[in-house]
Amino acid sequence: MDKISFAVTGLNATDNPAPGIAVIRAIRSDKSWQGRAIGFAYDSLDTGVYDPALCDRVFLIPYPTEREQAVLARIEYVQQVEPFQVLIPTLDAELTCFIRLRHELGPMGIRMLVPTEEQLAMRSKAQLGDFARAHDIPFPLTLSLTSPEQLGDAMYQLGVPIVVKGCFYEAQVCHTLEQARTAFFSIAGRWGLPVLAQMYQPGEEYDICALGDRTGRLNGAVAMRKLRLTDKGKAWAGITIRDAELLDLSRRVVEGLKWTGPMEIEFIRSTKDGRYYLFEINPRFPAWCYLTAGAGLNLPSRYLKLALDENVAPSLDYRTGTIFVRHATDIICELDVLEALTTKGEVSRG
Amino acid sequence: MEKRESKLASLHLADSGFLFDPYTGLTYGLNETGLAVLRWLRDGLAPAAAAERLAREFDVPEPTARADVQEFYDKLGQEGLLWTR
Repeated sequence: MDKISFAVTGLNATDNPAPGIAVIRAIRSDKSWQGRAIGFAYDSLDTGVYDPALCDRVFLIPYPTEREQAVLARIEYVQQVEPFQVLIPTLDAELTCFIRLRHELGPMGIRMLVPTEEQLAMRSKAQLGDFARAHDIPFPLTLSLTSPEQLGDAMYQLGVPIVVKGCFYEAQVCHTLEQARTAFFSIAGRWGLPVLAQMYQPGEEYDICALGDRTGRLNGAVAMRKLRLTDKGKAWAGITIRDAELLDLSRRVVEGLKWTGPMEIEFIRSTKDGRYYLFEINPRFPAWCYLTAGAGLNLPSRYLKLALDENVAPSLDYRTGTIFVRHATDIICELDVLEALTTKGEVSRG
Repeated sequence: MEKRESKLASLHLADSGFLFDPYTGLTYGLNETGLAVLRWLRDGLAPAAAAERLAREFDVPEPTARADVQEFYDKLGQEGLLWTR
């Protein structure tokens, strides 16, 4: 592989870790890769900034929700002082900004694999049920609510308990109407309307890390069963598995959306009927994507090659029984990194 | 009609009795006789033949071996370890 320098966002690894660190580690683990890894941080205390083995250089960038042109101006500066060829956005909230900037970034020599805004909307929580129905993918019955008065009817239709979900984030299992009303107000206050009411599907959680190529076809996927969860339901440990049905469902998701770029597809295998139910699609690499490299199908590394239009044959060839266990630890560092970031907005680590 | 295939060949089975189902990610622990019987089944023995071998090699009365192997085989089926869905 020629020298490929890339930039990655999402460097903050807390108990709900952003995926950027895993993406960089995966690419660095590819022995054929040469180049420089550039971190785009939103905060001078983003944890990944302080790991000396991770980024060669880190730049603070403005929040994409502020102004797209401010983000673009910052990237133009970075491209002058630290040229790179590939950008890998890893956060949900920034994706629309980077999709809109792709026509400016391309002529600057910066390649990405991103979907269109329409495709992004099709996998949103509010529209996911329609997509699943259209492609014959099992999906828990879900109702879109704009008023707490609708909760009684929803519980009648969906049975008890129900899952009350925000249109962007958060879900609570509710066993009574009072619990559902409390959850409705709490979630609507944080994430706005509509609030979703979903049939509860008890079962095991399975996640797929998938990558679509520029034509919207599946280039690779790795399936994982969650072994340990945080109190936010995030995977803290997992093991690679292979079930043809699960991988076929994942292919139908990627190719049904004609998706370009990475995604995390979440399924529950119901203990009621043994079927896999789609329940969420995240439009980015998952925080556990380093496992794909560990299992022998390095999807972040494939992203780099596909972004540069290299020919990468589709593959589902990975080792089952490969485990990841997340491990929180402390990094000790000197003041100069914080100083450089807060005064200059950038720091060089290598 | 759904295609149903034997899963036995794809199960990860260690000498320690540790069993990993790569389809579901679930793990199990087998004792010495469970490990032996599962290996025989994987090698193609029918449950009745596995029971005969169990009786012979572990010095177990044949009726006991037959009952135990059948119970074990049923349990494997309940756990979804015999066939793909």
